[in-house]
Amino acid sequence: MSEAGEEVGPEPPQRFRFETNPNLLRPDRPSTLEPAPTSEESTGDSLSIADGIERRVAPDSIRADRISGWIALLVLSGGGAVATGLLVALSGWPLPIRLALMGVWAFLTAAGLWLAHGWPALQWRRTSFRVDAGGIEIRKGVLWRRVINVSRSRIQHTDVSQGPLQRRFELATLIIHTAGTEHATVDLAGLSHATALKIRDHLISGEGDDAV
Amino acid sequence: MPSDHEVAAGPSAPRRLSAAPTEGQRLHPFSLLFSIGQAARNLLIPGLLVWFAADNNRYELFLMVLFVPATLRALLKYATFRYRFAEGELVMKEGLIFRNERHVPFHRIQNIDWTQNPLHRLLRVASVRVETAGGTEPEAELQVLTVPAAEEMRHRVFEEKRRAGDPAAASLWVPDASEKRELARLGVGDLVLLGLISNRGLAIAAAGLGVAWELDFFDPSKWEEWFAGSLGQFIERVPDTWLWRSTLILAAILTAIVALRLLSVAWALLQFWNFRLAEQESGLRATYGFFTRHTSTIPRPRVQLVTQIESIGQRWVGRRGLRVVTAGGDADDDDQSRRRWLLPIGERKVVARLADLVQPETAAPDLDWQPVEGRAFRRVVKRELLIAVGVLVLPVLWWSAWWGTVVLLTVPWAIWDARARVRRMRWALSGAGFHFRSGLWTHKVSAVRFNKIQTVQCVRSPFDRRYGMATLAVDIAGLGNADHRIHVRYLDSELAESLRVRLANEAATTRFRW
Repeated sequence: MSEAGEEVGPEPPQRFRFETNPNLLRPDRPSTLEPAPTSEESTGDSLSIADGIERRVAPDSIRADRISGWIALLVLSGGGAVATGLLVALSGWPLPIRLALMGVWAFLTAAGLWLAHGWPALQWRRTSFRVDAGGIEIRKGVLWRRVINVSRSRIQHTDVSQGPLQRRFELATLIIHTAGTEHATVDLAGLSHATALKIRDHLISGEGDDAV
Repeated sequence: MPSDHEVAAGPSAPRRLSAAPTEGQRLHPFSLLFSIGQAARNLLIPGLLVWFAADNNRYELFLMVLFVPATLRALLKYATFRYRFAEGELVMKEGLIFRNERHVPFHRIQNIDWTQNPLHRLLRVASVRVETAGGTEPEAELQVLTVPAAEEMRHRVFEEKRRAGDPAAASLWVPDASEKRELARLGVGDLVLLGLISNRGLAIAAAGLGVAWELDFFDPSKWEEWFAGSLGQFIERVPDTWLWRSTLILAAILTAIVALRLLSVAWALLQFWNFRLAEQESGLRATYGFFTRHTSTIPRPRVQLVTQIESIGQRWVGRRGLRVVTAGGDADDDDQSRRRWLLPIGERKVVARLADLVQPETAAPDLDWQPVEGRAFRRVVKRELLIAVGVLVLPVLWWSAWWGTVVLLTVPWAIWDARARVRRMRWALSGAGFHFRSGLWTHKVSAVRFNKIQTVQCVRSPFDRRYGMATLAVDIAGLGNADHRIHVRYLDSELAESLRVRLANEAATTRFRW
């Protein structure tokens, strides 16, 4: 470890290149910024999921997410409609304000419709995963795009959870627990249940080493 | 006692119920004293405050009622608690109606810590904590054992671990006698220095004010009395000129500063009195404390992160501190947080050497510190100027041209701040670890071994994407709020990606051990 207090000289900032140990860098994947997942998630029954191929989650997850979005929208927008209706009918406010109130409700509902319909597709396009012998790599997030790597040897335990809607579409969420602090749980939603189980089995089929 | 009593519980079954008659060793009878004492402290002090403040005696009765269950619990625990060393595990039983039997396999025990306050020392007993890796609270707290019993516990557990051939465990503990050498010692001078540059006094003063508030010290009528008394007369006697007024204010400020510094010094002296850090076979042991003497053992394999810290005050006097993050225990617990100081203050060279000694894998004489993207300066300065001008300068300018011109000074400050902030942030790779440094006011330099990396994450916010940048976040176990988080911001996004892949591969090819 070198000095903490040392001043940083005026040397020109150099682009860092990995020259020391290039084979750790996987030259087969030169740019990983925006990978194009080559396959949908299914692997067939015999093939292992741990083949290092970038996969998308189940397309059905779009439908499931849309339905849950619509349900949420129905509740929110319905509540908003009742409140707006009451205010418009009973408040005795001037007409322009009442009209504006209705306008706001209509706008929010339209925006909600667009979100409920469009967001799941955006999310699906931005969600992918890659499992290999070393562990799992998860990409997700529409605005904040994350790539998370969890090695198999760091996984404490995993959950596969299914909500009612997910059960209907045979989907599942894989939840990975590590001993970490900030990202102690990493989840991947929208997998088909079978794939989630496959990934789980692969991830926790360790050497059975319990020596923490 | 080692017994041939059958024990079948594996690591997955730490708790088991059993109706078998208890056997094994008891706690020391003084346990009653300490448990009841603890209950008294927890109940009495807040109770007394309320009592004084409320000016009536109802609370006395209330307190007595609260005491009964605490005393009963202490009695029950003392009467029923037994522990014994079984094959491969430590077994503790307690309870009369609801019986609880806990099996802690030796290989899961990470540390046996004991605490002795002056009363403990007087009575020759110790409060022992058995810590395992997971979870936020110690697996078992044995309050209290005699010193020989505590020594035996430590000896047995670690001998068993060693015999079991646990490679990591074999090096975890060595008896007191095998202390190899002393690494650091803090004298009174060091502690005074530590107090002078720390701001702990402020926290103590704030706590004091809180208590004073509880006690209605801030009753306006009392203030008036006080002011009408000596202080008021003194102030009235001061000539009413600008010079005298400002002198008085200055004197008041100076007094406050001196008082706060003195409080800080007192805190440092009490907290870290006779601080000694010694090296053992494969770990470190720190002992310190004036009233309560703390002994913490830090097994080297358990260290997750090593951070060297330089606050402004420490930089002024050419010192820095060393903190380590270890897994297990609640990181934000005050007690745990204090334990993380491997050396609260020391000369730069000493601390840097110590950091290498704690984590030899990441010791690298000349690290190739890499800057973050050069474009980051423009990005940060834009943001800071937007905030400075939009939030401060424009509203003030609108209100008063003169003051607006004054606050215009925040503009060069924002530029300097952005520049320094970006230039401080650097990262480096060494053979076995990742290094990160950041911090404008408090400089922090951290090193994490690859095998302690839990997850690696690369995040691109909408702003990041606009500038072609990304943040690399490395997560490790046991981080608390005050610890240095490894978030390397403003990296070129391609570089961040290759770093992520590299670190993920390094993590995947190493085995994690707590």
